[in-house]
Amino acid sequence: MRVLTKLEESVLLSVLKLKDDAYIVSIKDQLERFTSKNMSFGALYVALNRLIKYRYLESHIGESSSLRGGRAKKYYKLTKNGVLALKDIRQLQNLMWKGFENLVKELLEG
Amino acid sequence: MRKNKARPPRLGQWILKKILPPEERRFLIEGIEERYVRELKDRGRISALFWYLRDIFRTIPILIIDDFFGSATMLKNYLKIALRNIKRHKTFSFINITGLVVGMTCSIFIMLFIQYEISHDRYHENANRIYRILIRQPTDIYQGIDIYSISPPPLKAALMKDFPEIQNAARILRTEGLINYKNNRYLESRFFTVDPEFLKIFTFPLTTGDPETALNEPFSILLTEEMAEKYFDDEDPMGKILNIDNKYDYQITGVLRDIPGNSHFKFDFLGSFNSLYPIYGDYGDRFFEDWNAYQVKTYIQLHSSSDTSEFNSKFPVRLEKYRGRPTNDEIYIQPLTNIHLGGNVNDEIEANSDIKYVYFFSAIALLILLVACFNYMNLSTAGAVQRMKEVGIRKVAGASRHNLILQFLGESLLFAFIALLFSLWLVKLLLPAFSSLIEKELSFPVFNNIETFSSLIGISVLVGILSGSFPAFFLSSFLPVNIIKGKLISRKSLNKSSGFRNTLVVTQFAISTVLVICTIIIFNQLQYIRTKELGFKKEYVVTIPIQDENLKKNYGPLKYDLSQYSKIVDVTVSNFLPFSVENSQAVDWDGRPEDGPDFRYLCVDPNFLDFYGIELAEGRNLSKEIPTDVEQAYILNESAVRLIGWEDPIGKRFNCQRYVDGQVIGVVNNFHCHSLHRQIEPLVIFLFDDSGWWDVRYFSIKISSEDISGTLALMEEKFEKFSPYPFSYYFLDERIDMLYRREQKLGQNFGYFTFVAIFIACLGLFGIASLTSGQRIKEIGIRKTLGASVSSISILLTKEFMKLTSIGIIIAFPISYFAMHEWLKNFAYRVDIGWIPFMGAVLITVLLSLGTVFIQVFKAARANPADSLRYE
Repeated sequence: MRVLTKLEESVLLSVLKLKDDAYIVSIKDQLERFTSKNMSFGALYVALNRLIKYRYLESHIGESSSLRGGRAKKYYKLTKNGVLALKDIRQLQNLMWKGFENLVKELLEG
Repeated sequence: MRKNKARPPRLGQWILKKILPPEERRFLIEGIEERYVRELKDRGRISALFWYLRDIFRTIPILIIDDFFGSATMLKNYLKIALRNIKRHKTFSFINITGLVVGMTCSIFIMLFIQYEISHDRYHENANRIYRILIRQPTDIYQGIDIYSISPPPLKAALMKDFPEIQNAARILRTEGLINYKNNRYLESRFFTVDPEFLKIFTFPLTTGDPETALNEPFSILLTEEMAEKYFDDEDPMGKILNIDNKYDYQITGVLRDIPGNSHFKFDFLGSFNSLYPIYGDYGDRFFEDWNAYQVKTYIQLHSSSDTSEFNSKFPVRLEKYRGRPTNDEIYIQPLTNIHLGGNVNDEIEANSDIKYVYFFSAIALLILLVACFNYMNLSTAGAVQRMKEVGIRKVAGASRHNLILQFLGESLLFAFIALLFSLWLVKLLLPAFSSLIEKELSFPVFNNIETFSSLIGISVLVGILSGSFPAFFLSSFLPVNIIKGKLISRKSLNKSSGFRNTLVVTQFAISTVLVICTIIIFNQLQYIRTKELGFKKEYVVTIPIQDENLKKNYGPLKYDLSQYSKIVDVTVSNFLPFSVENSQAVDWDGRPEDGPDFRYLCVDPNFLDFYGIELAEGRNLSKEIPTDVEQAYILNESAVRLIGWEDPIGKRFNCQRYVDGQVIGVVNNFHCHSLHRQIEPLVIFLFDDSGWWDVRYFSIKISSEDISGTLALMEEKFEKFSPYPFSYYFLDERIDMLYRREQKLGQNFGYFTFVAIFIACLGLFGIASLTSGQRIKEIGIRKTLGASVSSISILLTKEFMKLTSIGIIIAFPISYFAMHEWLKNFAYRVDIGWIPFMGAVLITVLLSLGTVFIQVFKAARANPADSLRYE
């Protein structure tokens, strides 16, 4: 199984958190809140497309609302695969972080 | 708030729209827009704009890369592999890049040269509306051309009256001037006398002075900054007085910026045209109305509103209309921007170039670039085996052929751009040398000239795609199944690729050989010209042009003075020098047809023929002892006699512009009185008389070979006593060489480019030889263990390459033969092409390619078979 990159991971998490309101602008806002790093729209756009290609995300065009001048948004949603991938990475990270407290304590005291 | 304020800059959005696939772009663009609007509300216009620009500049490259290579990660991988390949195969990378660098450097130089040639006279603001007046004189053919750039002075007013389209017209009279300021004396040959409109028509900015009034008064003069420095150093030249020709005082009314090198005429001084009234005195008024005084150049500028094509269609116009006397002369116009590349007409101020040379050098640039590209193609297809596994793995991992093609094309583009960087550096380094080679001041503005910049990028992309296309298709065609089976490449495609490779090698060598043959023939012809018997003696002859009017009339004392000196063997005077008798006069003989031609003429002293060793075919020489010889004796050359058709010319009636008829007293053997480009034309030789009609323009002085500098110093001293002009002299043989300068330059440049082409071709051959002998290392090992000798293996390996070069050479033969046959037609006297150039070229090409191949082959053949076979 492919391991997610840090960027992909944060994109997937953002989409998850945004629930029904995950479209490119809100995802970018969310990401900026998570990380201090400011990524460009292009980079985000490319990453989203890649995640769709890997079938971690799916997209649908929302209904047009009068608020945006009658223009529709493209909404993103996690697929089963995407959820699995996040679970995997969580597991992997847990594994990697396991015993962290003790080790730090040892390091500081010893 | 206005509506469009809430929208991001349109240009950025437009670019995005172009890059993205249509069905997708909406969402991204709208997203950016939404965020922009928010930024605008929260933080104001300026920071919103900054935010937008920052985002868009990072977005666009990512999108392009993503579009092109699938993803940035893959691109990184491609780049890594490409760089790794460059590093691993150092020899091939070196050969490839060197070949491309040399080829591109050459092409950039040629491109700069062509740009410079094309840019001539285009810096004038009105360049597109300026024309030069030409006059065709069908009865007067000079140097093989009947079109003249000179016209009569009254033509200006006549044209202005007749053609309302003309806004300004200016006449130029070009003379020499002896300029004197505080005993700083020089003879200046670039002295123009011009109408005040000159500064309106042409864009020659003044650093000081008022262009509106500077040339209005008689005896006003403008000079260039360069000249201002020459005569005045740090002084302010404005208002100073320059003395000219020891007679006239001109006042400086302005300083011009130096004339750009890419002008078809260049000058150092501009005198006002109405100074000519006082200078010409009684003749002044007549000169301005004289329809026979073909002396000035006329330039016109059209109104910006007038229709140029309609104006064009009104010409040629017959001159008769204005002149009031029957004549066949016709008035033509020539656009300013066509002058430099339009070849020469008569009385050009400076020798022009020809569009033919531009085409010719473009072709060479293209050929050299092609040879370099072929190298790349050859080496990357020959080295394909090494990339085979990579291609297999990529394919198995899911790469499509499309991806692979892009990858390999990308690699060749990378090579091309690396080569571009090196060649830019080289061009910067070699530019001064190249400039002095072609005797033009080239500049190389890479980044501040969008045209140069984009053509450089264009060249690299072209080279990259051209050289990468075949390898890309070839390499991407491997089937993983075959690779795994160990069959590597199918027999068929292998044959196809080696056939293609062979064709490339053959073409390379055909091109190189053509260039070699041409170079040899050009040099042969130049050698022929230099050594051909001209029919007169040219050794140790110093020629001195005479400017001073008094000396022209009264040359006797100086001639006598000079001949007294022991180191001076002989002295003679003439109106022209024997190697370039260009002017002609109407002549008359019994039975001359109505439209009989003019003859070239030479006015001489009695000892002229002896001095130059020109031999008489029959009759006697001109003599001082016979008083009638001064006005009534003529000597013709053989061409003249043949043209007239006399069986026995001696004693026949003949006249050349004289009141009394004379007779032919002798015939000289034909000697080359023009350059070898043309046949020897009819010529008449006669003595100077007292009419003042014929000018003594040249002293010819034969000196002994000892102490030449001492003799020259003495001559200078004597001349300065008789003439206020600075002493200047030429050796006759140097002057003759000048006639063929253009051809010599051509030969030289051709030689350099030939060298480059051969160098690149051999470089490629070297690469292929080392690759193939490397691939056959086991075969060689087995052959050696079975008893083959080093020499037999070397021959075996070399044979194939020799076959290719031989085919190339054979193809080159007819091409170069026809090309050179055409070129030699420029000369009336030329070498037979013969077989020597071909043999020479064969020798050079074969030896060079043999040498290159042999280095590699010999190494492979000598290798110990134990090493190559051991690990099996």
